[in-house]
Amino acid sequence: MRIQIIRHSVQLAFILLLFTAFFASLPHFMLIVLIATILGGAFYCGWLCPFGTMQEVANNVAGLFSKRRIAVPEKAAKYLVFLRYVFFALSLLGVSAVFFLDARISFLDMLRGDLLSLAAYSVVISFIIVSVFIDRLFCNYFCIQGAYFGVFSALRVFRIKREHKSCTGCRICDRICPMNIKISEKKYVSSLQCINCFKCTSKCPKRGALRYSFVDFRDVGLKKRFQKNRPKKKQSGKKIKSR
Amino acid sequence: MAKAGLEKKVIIAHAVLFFFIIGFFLYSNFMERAQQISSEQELDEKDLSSIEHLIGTCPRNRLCTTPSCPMWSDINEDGICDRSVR
Repeated sequence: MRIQIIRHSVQLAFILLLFTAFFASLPHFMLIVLIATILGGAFYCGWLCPFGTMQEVANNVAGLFSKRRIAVPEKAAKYLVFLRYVFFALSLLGVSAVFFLDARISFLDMLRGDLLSLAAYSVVISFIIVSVFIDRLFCNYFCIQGAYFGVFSALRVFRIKREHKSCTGCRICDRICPMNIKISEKKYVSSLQCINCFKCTSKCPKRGALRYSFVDFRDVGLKKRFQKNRPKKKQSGKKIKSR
Repeated sequence: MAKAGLEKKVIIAHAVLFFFIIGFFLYSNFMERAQQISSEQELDEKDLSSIEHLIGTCPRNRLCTTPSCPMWSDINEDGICDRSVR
C-alpha cells in the first residue's frame, strides 16, 4: 500500500510541476525518463502521465460505488493490444492523422489552457467516460507514447518477478492489473504493456510472491536457448565417438 | 479490513487532490483567457479614440501607420486606409 501512496503523490506532484517553469525543461526530463524506461520499464505511464492518472482516478472513484466492471473480451484484447503499436508505427511514418485519437496530448493542451477543436474535446471526454467502466482503455490500446515506452522497455533489466514457490495461484494480480497482463502465468512480467504501477505487488496477499527485482536473463528465455543448443553438442560428440 | 479502509481513504484523497489541481488549472486558464479578451477589447477601444484625432494628419510623402491599417498607411477622411492624406 505504501508504494501506491508514493505513486499517487508522484502523479499529483508531476501534474503540479507541469504548470511551472519545469515545463520548459521537459525534453531533458523525458530523456531521463527514457533511460529509466530502458532499465526499469514504462514508469512514465504508471507514475507520471496526467491522462493515465485521470483515467485511473475515474476508474477508482467508480470502483467505490460499484464493483462491476466491463472487461474487453480476451480474444479481442489479444489483437487490440497491437493497435497502439500500429499507431506508433504510423506516427513514425509521418501519418499525423493518428494523433487525432491521442487524447493524452489533447488533455495536456487542455490543462495548459489551449483551445481545442470540438472533436479533440469529445475524444478526451469520451475516453474519460469509458475509463469509468474499463480501466485505462486508452493506455491499453490507443496510446502512442505508451507504445513508444513499451518498445524501449523490452529489454529492461528490472522486472516484476513471481516466485512460483510462494504464489498461491489466487490470480488477484491478473484481475487487478490495469493492462490485462496474466501475471500469474509468468515467472517475470516481460510484457511491453506493463506500466510499473505495482498494483499487483501491493495487492498480492502472499508477501514476497511478487517482487520487483533484477532479471536473471537465463530465466527469461536465453537459458532455454542455451539448453537447446547444449545437448546437440553432446550428441554430436557421441556420434564422433561411435564412428 | 483495515487495509481495505486505508485503500479507500487513499483513493478518495488521490481523487480529491487530483480534481482540485485540475479544477484550479482549468479555472485559472479560463480566468486568464477572459482577462485577455477583455483587455484586447479595451485596447481596441483605446486605439480607436487615439486614432480619431489623427485622421488626415499624415503629411504627403511621409510614412505613417495607424494600428488598424496596413504598414505605412493612415486612415483618411473617409475612414479608409490610405498612404497619405494631404
